[in-house]
Amino acid sequence: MDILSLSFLAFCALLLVVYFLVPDRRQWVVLLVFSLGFYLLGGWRNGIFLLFTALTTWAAARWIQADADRQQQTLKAGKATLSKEEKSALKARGKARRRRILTAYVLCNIGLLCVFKYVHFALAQADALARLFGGRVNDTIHWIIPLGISFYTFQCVGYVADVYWGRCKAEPGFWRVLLFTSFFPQVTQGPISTWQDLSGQLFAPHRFEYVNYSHGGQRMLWGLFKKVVIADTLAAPLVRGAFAGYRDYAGLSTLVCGFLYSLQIYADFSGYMDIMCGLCRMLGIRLTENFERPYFSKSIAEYWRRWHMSLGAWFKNYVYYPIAMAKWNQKLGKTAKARLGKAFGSYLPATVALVVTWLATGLWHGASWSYIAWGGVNGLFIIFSMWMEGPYAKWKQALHVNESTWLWRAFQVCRTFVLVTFIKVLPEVGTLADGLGFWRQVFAARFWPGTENLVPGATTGHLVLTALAAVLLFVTSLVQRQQPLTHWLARWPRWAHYLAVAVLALVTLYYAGAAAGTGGFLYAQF
Amino acid sequence: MRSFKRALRVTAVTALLCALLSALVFEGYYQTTQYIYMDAGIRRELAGSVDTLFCCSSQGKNALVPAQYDLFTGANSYNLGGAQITMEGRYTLLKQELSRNPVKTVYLELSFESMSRNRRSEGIEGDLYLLARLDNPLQRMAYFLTHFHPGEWRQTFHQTFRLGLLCWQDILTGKLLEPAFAETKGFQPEESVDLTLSRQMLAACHHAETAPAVIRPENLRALEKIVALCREQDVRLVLLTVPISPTLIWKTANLDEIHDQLADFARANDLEYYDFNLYRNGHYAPNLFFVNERHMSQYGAEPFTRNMADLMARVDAGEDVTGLFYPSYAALETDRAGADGLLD
Repeated sequence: MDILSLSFLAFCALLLVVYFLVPDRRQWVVLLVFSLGFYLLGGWRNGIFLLFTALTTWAAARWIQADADRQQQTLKAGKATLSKEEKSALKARGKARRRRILTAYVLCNIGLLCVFKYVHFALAQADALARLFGGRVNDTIHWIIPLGISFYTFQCVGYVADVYWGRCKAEPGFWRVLLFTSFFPQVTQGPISTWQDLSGQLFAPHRFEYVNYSHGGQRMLWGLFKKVVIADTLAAPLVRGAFAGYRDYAGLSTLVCGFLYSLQIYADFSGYMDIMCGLCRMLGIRLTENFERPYFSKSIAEYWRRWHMSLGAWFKNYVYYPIAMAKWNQKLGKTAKARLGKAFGSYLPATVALVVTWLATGLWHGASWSYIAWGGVNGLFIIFSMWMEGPYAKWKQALHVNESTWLWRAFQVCRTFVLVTFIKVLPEVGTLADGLGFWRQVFAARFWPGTENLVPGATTGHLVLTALAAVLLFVTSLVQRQQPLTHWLARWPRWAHYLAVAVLALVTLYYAGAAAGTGGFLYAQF
Repeated sequence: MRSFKRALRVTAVTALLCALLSALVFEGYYQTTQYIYMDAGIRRELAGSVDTLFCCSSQGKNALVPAQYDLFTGANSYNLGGAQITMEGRYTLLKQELSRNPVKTVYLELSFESMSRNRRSEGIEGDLYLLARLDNPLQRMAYFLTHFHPGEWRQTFHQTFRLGLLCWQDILTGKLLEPAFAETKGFQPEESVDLTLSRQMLAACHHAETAPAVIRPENLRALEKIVALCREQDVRLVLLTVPISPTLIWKTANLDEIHDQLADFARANDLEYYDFNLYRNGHYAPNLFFVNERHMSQYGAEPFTRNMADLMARVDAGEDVTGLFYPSYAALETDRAGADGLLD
C-alpha cells in the first residue's frame, strides 16, 4: 500500500476507530489483522516468507526457552545431589544444544535473506570469475525480494538471540510472534525493535488519549511534509539530474547536489519514521526512535549512533559485541598486546569486530561492491578515529584547542556532515567508479557554474524553495534539541498553532498532488 | 470520552480551516476569467435569452460559430463546447442551460471519438475545465464528488490550487483578463494551418489508421441522458458531425463503421443526424480551413456554420436533404478521388 495515498489515510483512520472500539485485551489482534492486511496487499506471495520467518522464530525461541527451563529444573532438582562438575557439564551440554538450535535458526533465516537479496550479486561474481576461464554463468532468476525481509529477519533474529542469551522469555503465543514480525508501521523500513521494547507496547492495553492523538497526528503530518515536499518534490529532481549527468556539472553544482542528496535521504527516511511513529503514537504505542538529529553529530561514530539508530543498535548487539567479546578475538588481542605493544593489542579486537560489522552493514544496505565499499569506508573512518584518539588529544593540547567553544563544535559538525555526505553518495550514483567520479567532478577545471543556474535545469524558484526547506529542517532540528516539535507548537497561540498545521497540511497536499503516482521510499530498497 | 470529543473537535476545526484556506485559493481561480474556457459569467449574463445551444466537444467549439448561425436564422445561440469535455460534462452544462433558457433547439455534435473516449485513461483535464465553468461552489462540489475518482483527488487539488495561486498573483498584480468568449459566444476562433500532404505521403498513409469504434457504456449512458433531457424539456435535438480534415478522412480506415453506429443510434432514438464530412457542398481543403486534422479554423468554421444553417433551413422547409449527402465514406472517397485525384 502506498503510504502517500488516500487509501493509506483511510486505512489509518479505520485502524484508529476499530482499535479503540474493541476491548483492551483484543487490541493487539486488531493490529495483527491490519498488519497482515497491509502486508498481503503488497502481494500474497510475500506473506509465505513472512509466515515462514514468524513460524521458525516462534518455534526456535520456544525450543530454546523450553530447553533452558528444563535445564534449570534439572539443576534445581539436583541441587543437593549433583556435583559441581556435573552441574557444569550439564550447563555446557545445554548451552551447546541451544547454540545448535540458534545456529540452525539463524542459518535458515539469514540464509533465506541472502538467497533473495544476494543471489544476483553472487551469480554476477561467479560469472565474472567464470569468464576468466572462458566460461559463463547466466543469471536467469527472476525472484522478487519479499517486502521488508531485511528488516523483519533482523528483528526476529534479534529476538531469538535475546531468548538464547536469557535477555527475554520466549513468547508462547504464535500469533503474538506473528504480530511482532509483521507489525505494519515497521515491517517495510524498520525500526528494527527488540522484543523487550516492542512487546510491552504491542500487547499492553491502550486507552484513547487526546495528547497522543494530537501529537501523533502532527508528527505524521510533519513526516508527510518532509517526504512529499522536501525529499520528493524539492531535492529528488535535482539529485536525480546530478547523479545522471554530473559529468556536465560545474564543481560547485556537483558539491551542492551531493549535499542535497544528504537532505533528500534524511527527509525521506526520517519522514517515513515520523509518519509511522506518529501513527503509533496515536494508537498509544511508542515506537523505537531511529533518528536523533544525526547531522548535528561531531564524529562518524556518533553519527551512526544517531542515524538509523535501531540498525546500528542491532549490529552493535548481535554482530559487534559477540565478535569483539569472542574468546578467539580476545586471545588475538592478548597475543598482539604481548608481541606488538599495549595500544595495538587493546585496539585489535575492536578493530576486527568493526571491520566485520561495517562490511556486513554495507552488504545489508545493498548487494553490490559499491555498498560493500560504502560500509568499508564508514568502518575505515571509525577505526581511524579510534586509533588516532591518543594523537588527536595530544595535538589538540599542543594547539590549545578549546573543545567547549561553539566554533569548535560547529567545525566538528560541519566536518562530519561533509564526510558523511561523501560516503553516502558513493553507492548511489551508480557503480563505485561513478561515485568516485561524482566527487572528482567537484575538483574539475570548471568550479563556478558560470551563466547557467547553480544547479542545471533547476529554476531559481525551485532552488530558493529548496534552500528554505533546508533552513526549515535546520531550525526544527535546533528546536528538537530542546523539546519535541509538538511541545514547541503547543506553546504557540492557539490560532497560530491551528494555522501552522493547516498550512502544513495544505502545502503537503498540494505537492502530493504534483507527485501523484511517483516516488517510493529510498530505504524500502534496503 | 472527553478526550475523544476533544480530538473530534480539534480535527473538525483543523479540517474546516484547511477547507476555508483552500476555498479562498480556489475561488481566486473560479471567480476570475483568466483562462479562455471560463465562460460561466457570460452564460449567466445571457440566461433567459438563448434559444439554440451547440452542445459540443472541442471540435464543435472550433467549428460552430453562433454569430454566423444567428445572422442566418435570427436565433440567439451559444456554443457550449469545451476541450476534453466528456459526454457527462456536456450533459451537466446542457442541463444547467436548459433550466434557465427558453431553448428550442440543441445541436449535439458527435465527433468520431466522442463515444469511445475513455475518461479514466484521458485523465482529469476535461473535467477540471468543466468545474471552472459551473456557477457556484455547490455545483462544483457535486460534480467533483460524482465525476472524479478518489485516485484523482490529489491531482485535482494540486491543479486547482496551482491555478488559484496563479490567479491570486494576477489579482494582486492587477493583471486580470476579460472573459475570452464574450463576443464569440463560446466559439473558439483559431488561425489556419496548412495540413496538405504530398502525393507520396498520401499514397503511403491511405487507411493506415483506425479510429476506436468501441462505444463506451458511460458515454452511451450520458448520451441517452441528453436525449431524455431534451425530450423531457420538449427541445428539438439534432445530432451532427462537424468536418474533420480530408487528410484524416483519407488516413482513417473505419469511418463508415463509426458513422453507422451514430446513424443507428439516431434512428433508434428517432433523431436527425447529419454527418457534414459527407455533405456534397462542403469540401473543406486541408490547407485553408483547419487548425489541425480534427479541428476547424475560423476560416473553415464560418462557411461551415453557414452551410449547416442553410441545410437546417431546408430541412425546416420540409425538403428531403438525403441526396445532399454521400451515402458513405467509401462513396465520398470514390467521388473525390475520381474528381480531384488524391484529395486536391
